Amino acid sequence: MNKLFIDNSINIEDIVIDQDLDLKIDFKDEKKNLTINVLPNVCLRVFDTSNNTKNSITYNISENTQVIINKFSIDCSDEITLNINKENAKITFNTSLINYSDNTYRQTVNHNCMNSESKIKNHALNILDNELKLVVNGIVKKNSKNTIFRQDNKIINLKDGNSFIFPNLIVDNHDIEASHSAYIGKFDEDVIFYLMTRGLTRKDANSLLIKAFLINNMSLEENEIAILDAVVKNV
Amino acid sequence: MLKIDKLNVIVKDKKILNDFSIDIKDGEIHAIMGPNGTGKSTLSKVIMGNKNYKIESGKIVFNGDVINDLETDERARRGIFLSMQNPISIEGVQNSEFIKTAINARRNTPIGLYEFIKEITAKASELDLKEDMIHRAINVGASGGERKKNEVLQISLLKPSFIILDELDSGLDVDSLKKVCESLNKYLEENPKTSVLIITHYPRILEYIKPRYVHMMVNGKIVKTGNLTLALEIEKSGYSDTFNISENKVYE
Ligand SMILES: Nc1ncnc2c1ncn2[C@@H]1O[C@H](COP(=O)(O)OP(=O)(O)O)[C@@H](O)[C@H]1O
Ligand SMILES: [Mg+2]
Repeated sequence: MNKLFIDNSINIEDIVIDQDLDLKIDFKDEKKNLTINVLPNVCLRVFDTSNNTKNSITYNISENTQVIINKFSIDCSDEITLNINKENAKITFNTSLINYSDNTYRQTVNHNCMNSESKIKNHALNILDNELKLVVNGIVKKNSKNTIFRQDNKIINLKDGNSFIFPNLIVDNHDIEASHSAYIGKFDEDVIFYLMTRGLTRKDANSLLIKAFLINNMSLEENEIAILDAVVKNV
Repeated sequence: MLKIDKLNVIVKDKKILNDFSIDIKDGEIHAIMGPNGTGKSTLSKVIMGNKNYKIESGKIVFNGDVINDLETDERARRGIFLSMQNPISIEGVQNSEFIKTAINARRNTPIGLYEFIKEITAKASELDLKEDMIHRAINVGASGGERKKNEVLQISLLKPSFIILDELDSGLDVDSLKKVCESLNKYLEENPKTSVLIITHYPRILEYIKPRYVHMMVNGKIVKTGNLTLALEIEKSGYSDTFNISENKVYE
């Protein structure tokens, strides 16, 4: 597959993707607008490791496409919009957030056509006592029959952070499959107890659970896992 | 090895263990039998340091040290292993990675990957545990029997000196129970100083792992101690007839 790498040094606002592509996005301390147009019959895989950003990224997705986005971000107040505009688009979108300061992550999925599918998973780890807001919008238009729209949101507070999930699900068609879940809490003490009964320190137990929560929920390549492992170890 | 002296334990304002005492010496196998809800699993979790249970008074002494205030992981690294009645599943945490971390928590230098894989594969096949259980997330999608085998797999790799088996037989069919007990007996033969506390309410498991003492536990304390004959008596007559000193008042 072709590869494209985007970071702070590249000054573009519009990308058109007309063939299968591995796209790596790695912005740091940025505030940017970016539109990614996915043309028909394309398979796009995105690995986004942006850090401390306030970006606004819009994906316009056309027919017969497969889009897999794995977004792993630290201190992110990004706004991501998926416009699913034409039939037979299949989207898997996993976000893992590590939060150290006050942030709001906004995500909007617009199903503007029929016969498409989106599976969204948002996992966030709120490390300190800060505020984290997930604003997740799902809009399924009237003409969108046979749509599958699934969205899972989960925030784990490591300490006593103020975490919020604001789901906004507007479904204007009955002939669809939609599901939504939201959970805010801590790691399960029974799980930590089980791990500790085998000799793992609380810290080791937490590390395994953090890795499971933020990395193992995505489908990643070995080298990508290695990159994220190194980040997660320092939490 | 393990000595418990007049232990009183409460959970959510309810008293569960009531002046509970037991003395298990090096290399001894003890069994505790008792009706449901009598506090057997509570005892096992208290020995392991679960914070849901508050010790009001009494002492737990392991190899000469009072361990009442030790963290769970420290107790484990000193050699206590609890095979749980209902081992939970943990999404996303790979079983082998977890077990390797547990092994390394007991070593100064990490175990080599090749040595680890060799050992875990051999032990799993000894237990008839499907190899894919090793690479899956901990107990995810596993049957009750597979979960129990996974507990015993960990015993053979973590090499504890004091093993608590809480209702090991539940979830295991007869053949699997036999296989698992053979593996445990082999471990006990190779490590003869190991002590075992078998918690059960059916005597079936005691045919495979022979206890030296059988204790009957009712309402949070041991009310009678004997040998295998006591277990068979309990099976034949039930708990109330075997323990007939207070007109069944203790049973709700
Ligand atoms: N975490 C807990 N919270 C509330 N009650 C509990 C808890 N654990 C045990 N108990 C209560 O303690 C009693 C003994 O339970 P348990 O130790 O599981 O009995 P056994 O293993 O002998 O069947 C029961 O009445 C049970 O409901
Ligand atoms: Mg029990």
